[in-house]
Amino acid sequence: MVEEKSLVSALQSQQHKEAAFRELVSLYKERLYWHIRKIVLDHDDTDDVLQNVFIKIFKNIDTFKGDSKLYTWMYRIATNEAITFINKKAKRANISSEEVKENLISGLESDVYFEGSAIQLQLQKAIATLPGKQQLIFNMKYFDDITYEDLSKILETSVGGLKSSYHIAVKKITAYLKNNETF
Amino acid sequence: MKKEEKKYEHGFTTPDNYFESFEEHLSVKLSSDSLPEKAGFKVPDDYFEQLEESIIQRVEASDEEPKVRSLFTTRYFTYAAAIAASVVLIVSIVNSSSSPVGSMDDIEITSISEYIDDGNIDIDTYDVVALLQEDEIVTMDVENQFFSEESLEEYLLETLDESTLLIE
Repeated sequence: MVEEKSLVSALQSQQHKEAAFRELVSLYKERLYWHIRKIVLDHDDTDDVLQNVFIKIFKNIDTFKGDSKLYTWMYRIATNEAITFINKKAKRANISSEEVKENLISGLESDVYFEGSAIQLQLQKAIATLPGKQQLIFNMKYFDDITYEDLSKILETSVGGLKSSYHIAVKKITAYLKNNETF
Repeated sequence: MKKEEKKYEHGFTTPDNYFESFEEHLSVKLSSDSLPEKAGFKVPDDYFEQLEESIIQRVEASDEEPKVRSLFTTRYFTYAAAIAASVVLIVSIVNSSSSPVGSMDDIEITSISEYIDDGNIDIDTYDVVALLQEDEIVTMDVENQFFSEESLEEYLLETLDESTLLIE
């Protein structure tokens, strides 16, 4: 926490902002990349969103009040940017965001940047059947191992609600995999 | 029968409903343990190595961009209204030779708005803006009643930078 405080101070100072920002990018680029990737699925789209997220962080770091952890604040920005990206894609194509995700999932098998096994592909299909927020909760809890307390700050949902949603997500995914066994 | 009293109390407690929900939690844990650990996505070679520089360059480039003022506001209508009023005045002068021409005060703003809304005047936004002085832009009031919520929402979704909306 002390390290985070000094990083935030440096980010909010004119003199040290750029150096501190480089450090921030270095520290968080992979975590934020994979978080966004699980939402938008495509590497190039993820790259775009990720860069926009860091630009937003750079421009708005002075608004960070320190009432949450820095990384939960950044995760919230990344989540919102990724969801907005999907929604914009849906609007441009005049389809729902669920249909956008379905189209992305169906293209996954031939995606050069997806090297998943049959079960990993099925898992992505299973996740895509969940409601949007439940997908977020499952991905962040299962793959990123984010604590319920931090998830609560990122998604602005109670810990109890998150636990319940995660449990339901796991059950649905397990049932989907059982019913769609191809491996 | 006398209830057996515990010789010692350890003092530990559990969260509410812990034992009631234990089996459910265990079942979820067992299910999730059978799922793949990784998602299966990969990145191009050296992607993360070159990412930092890309981001820094973009941040520097975005810092240098001049601020773009939105032209599509109701300021346009005030000047469009003035132009329309002038046109209406000229037309009424030309068409009516017997009756005295009303002053600008007699031409209600609603009539002018209707005239514009009916598409009777073809004004390019840039022509209107060309009339504006810098200090007039700065002091101009924005009146929201000319816009429906739907058109505002659509415009914001399409063009506006959402940073101020998303960051709390």
